[in-house]
Amino acid sequence: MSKKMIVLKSSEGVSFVVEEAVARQSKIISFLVEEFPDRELPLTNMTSEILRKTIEYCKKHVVEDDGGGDSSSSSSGDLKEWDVKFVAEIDQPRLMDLLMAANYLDIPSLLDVTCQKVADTIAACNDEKEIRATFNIENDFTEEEVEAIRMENQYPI
Amino acid sequence: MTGQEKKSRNTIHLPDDLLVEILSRVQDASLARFRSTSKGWNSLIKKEVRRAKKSLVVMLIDCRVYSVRFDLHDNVAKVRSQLSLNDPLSNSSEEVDVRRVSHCDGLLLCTTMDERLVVWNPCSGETSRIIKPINSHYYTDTYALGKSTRNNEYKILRVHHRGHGFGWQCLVNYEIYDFTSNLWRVVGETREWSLPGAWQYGTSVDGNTYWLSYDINQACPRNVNTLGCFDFTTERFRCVPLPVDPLSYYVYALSVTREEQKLCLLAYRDERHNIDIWMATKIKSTGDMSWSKFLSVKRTHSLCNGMSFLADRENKVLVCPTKYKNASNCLHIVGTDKYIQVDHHDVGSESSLPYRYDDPTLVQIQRGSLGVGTWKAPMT
Repeated sequence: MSKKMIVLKSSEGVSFVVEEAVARQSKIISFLVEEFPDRELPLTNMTSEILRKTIEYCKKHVVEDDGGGDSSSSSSGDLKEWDVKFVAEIDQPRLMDLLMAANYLDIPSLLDVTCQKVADTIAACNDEKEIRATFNIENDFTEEEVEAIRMENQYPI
Repeated sequence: MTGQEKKSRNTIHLPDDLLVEILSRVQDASLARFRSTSKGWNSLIKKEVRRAKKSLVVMLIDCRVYSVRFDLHDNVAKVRSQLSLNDPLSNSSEEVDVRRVSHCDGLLLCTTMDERLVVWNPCSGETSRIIKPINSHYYTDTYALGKSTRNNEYKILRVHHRGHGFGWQCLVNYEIYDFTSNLWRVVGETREWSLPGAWQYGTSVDGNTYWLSYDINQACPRNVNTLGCFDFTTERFRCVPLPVDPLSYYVYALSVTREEQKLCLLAYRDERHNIDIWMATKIKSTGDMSWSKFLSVKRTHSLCNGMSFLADRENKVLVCPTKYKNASNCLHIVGTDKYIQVDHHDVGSESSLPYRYDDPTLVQIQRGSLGVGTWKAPMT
């Protein structure tokens, strides 16, 4: 039995042909497929690179329903290991883009792993300066304000 | 990189709910340090922490310590994380069984099943060295963590009863453990009071610990209740007056109010159906306590003497552990007469968990919820 395919188009106009079951892990795509069958879906705010990454994730996580038995492609332990590797290989700016994509496309499991990775990155920073550098955040505090927060935070161990 | 691209990769431009989702996965102690990242982060972290502070409690369930978040509007309680305490003396990753947990300033003092002590900062995960009491075979000993205002140093008090039973005259001696010298030293003894069994666990407020007690010296048809305080600065016990006429009510338990972090007293009157919670405020000029009625609720089921509880004025309820329906993980909401099951099965789906729940041993909750302590977050 041939699998139903759909076409997703990136912001650069590149088309990706994906199995419907794979793409349906996104609640948004799932909805769009039902509303507009047989049409290619333009994802104008996603670059080809991020869309490719998202599809790679969805392919790994798809649970195939071919009429019988447990046919999920990997065991949950393997899958977790794969997830950790998957986000570890992505650099910081692209990870943020992927997180935004997971949020936009509504893929809860991908949002979970990307949020966790960002949280781990934040926790690994030694101080606020490192966070600002890593995430490109502007410091809008004055010296006095920073000192005031430091005083508030004093906490005996 | 174009300006547009640069912008989208900046977390400032993440929607607030996503940033909260991310930050809620970072340990509280780290969050405190990261408040000065930017104004946006500061206000989000402060807001989050305020919310967490209101609803986080520490529960001891079957020798394990959990931080539990509950919502009194929806009557749900979720285990946020299990705080796993490993034995620093052992190479194995085996967890230590905890008999009792008390707190001071958000630091937890855990008494292990084999009568050792460890101080634990649940926010950072740091633990003190394992402390052994001078004599470690007295299950009836009471321990309390406190802080001296002189040098802001923490100390542990051990109260040991020599003689028969509680409530009767017996020799009580007390010792202090000092974290600087790592030694225990005897600081005093008395026959004038003792800490009755149900009340032997103190309540810590502003670094000092309070206990309910009986005044043994007074010849009275009914035992006269007293309130004792151990001052960790002077290292002496002193008596604190109770509200109004102590003979007009029965004292039951002590706790700390959630918002103000002040000492409060649970007392019964009128055939024991009406419960009053009194809150103590220290008068600055004299150092005396002044009591005001904090909350009154009606009870339908009996409550345990000396139980731990939380008084919530906003929702006009008390929350306390219960053995009702033999449920081990149940909290009773006195006032609305509802029960909350602490749903440990749900932890896997809670996305903001700082710890992962793959360990099957954590799912077993067998015995009663023994203690609830208010959690004072480090950022105040």
